[in-house]
Amino acid sequence: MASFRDRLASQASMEANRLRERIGDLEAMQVPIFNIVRSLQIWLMTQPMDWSLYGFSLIEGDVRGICINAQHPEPMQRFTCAHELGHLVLGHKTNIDHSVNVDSASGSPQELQAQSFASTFMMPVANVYRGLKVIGTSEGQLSPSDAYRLARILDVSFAALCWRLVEMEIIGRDLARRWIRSGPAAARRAIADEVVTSDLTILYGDARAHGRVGDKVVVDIQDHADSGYEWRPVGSREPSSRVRWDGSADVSSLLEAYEGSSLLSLTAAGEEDITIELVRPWEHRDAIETRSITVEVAPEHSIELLDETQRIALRQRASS
Amino acid sequence: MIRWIRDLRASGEPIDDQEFRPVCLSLSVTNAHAYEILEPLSAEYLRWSSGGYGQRGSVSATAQALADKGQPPENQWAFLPSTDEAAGTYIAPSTVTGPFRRAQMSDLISFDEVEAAIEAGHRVILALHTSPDWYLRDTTVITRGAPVRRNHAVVAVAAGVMESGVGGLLRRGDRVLVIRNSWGSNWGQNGHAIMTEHAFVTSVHRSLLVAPF
Repeated sequence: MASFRDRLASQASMEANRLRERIGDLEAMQVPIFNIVRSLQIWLMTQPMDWSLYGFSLIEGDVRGICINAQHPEPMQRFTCAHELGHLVLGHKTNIDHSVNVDSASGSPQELQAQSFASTFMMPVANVYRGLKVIGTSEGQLSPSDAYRLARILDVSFAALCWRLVEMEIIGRDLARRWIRSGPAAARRAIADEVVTSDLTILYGDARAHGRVGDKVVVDIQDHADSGYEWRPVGSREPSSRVRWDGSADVSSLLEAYEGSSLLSLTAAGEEDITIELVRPWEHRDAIETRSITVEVAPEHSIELLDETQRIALRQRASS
Repeated sequence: MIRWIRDLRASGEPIDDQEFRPVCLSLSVTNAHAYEILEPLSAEYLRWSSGGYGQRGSVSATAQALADKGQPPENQWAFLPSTDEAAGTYIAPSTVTGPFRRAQMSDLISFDEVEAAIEAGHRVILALHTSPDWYLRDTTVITRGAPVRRNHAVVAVAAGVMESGVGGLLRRGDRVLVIRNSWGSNWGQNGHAIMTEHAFVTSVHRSLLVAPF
């Protein structure tokens, strides 16, 4: 028989699914949570706060607002936003979310519900399974680095993804704790073709990368640059306004195992197909080899687009 | 215009093309060594024998192989860009019989010493890292050592001083070297390019002189 807490979590999860249905047209793997919140006439802003504070939600009369800790990484901000949305949708009162309350296994029923709401809203079952398919793994074979890649695809934090995998009974609670304790960096290092820093993604094997504006993608393709050969975008130096091809780079200082790779900087949101060719730039002959890469670039931050009047009004409310 | 301190380029000397093979140091050492003794030598043998002294093609392994094993004449084992070093057949052929010319490699520690060595008639091996300047359609002058691209080795074959500026890249009075690359004769100007003192300081890891014995 399901426990009281399980039932509460389930109700919140169903509420999240209902809201997704009501909004409709939510096919994106990376749920555009900031836009959704705004479309629901909820004021949204960021503000630097103590690291232990995630954010808070406000209800005053018919006015509802969400404020998120600007110090946190964006995937965490996105999840916090969904968590605060959960509080508002579930009819909870004005609420300040401190890590002590939210992260605790014995947190209040309201926190449990908001977490469950956010988890389902940001990582619906269909998206998790689609993501697993994209990275070419199945539930039984999931490694920490697979989980890391899945978190990138869904644009949520590594920890949030791990707990979602627990909810979906894809991994056990103890394993999730171990992975989270080791941290995303360990997950990235777990296999050689992963990541070294928070904004450096390695594309290897498969030709599809997920990142966000500001990320650098290491394209791990042997280029023979010591022989004068380089991978370059076909046709021009810059493949598009969304990505910048930085060419051969010595990334060994960032990632010990990689001496020969190319760097791609993600500069604007959207999806981009890039064709690169291996050439000696000064030689007028056909390319030795060509490859195609698809890069999905998530927007850097859309909260900044909040109307200034709303921002000021909400800030005043928050400070009062 | 450049006022040459010494120009050791030889007209008609073919430019090496290593293609995909990581043999820049072996080709550079061989070029400098052969220049000293005026005999063509086998770069392939040096490359192969360096594998017995640590990481094949590294500076230390190549220096030890050159001192211990030396190099036979080039025609006993000619360099081929298509040779597969990973194949089990990568071993010195029976045609390699010697004589084996041995030499010591020693470090020079400054641009001044490199310039002086060239002035004294010695080609100097430069172990360095490349920068984007190396990968242009028309590389003629290398002015930058950054951003870092790849480790590489070339031979410094001339030294001079700019007598006038060139297009903002070179100023009057700049000290320069002419380097000989192994990326084919289409690179730079017939396989050569000018390297500024700034590029030297910011990209060269080791400058090496070959002394036959």
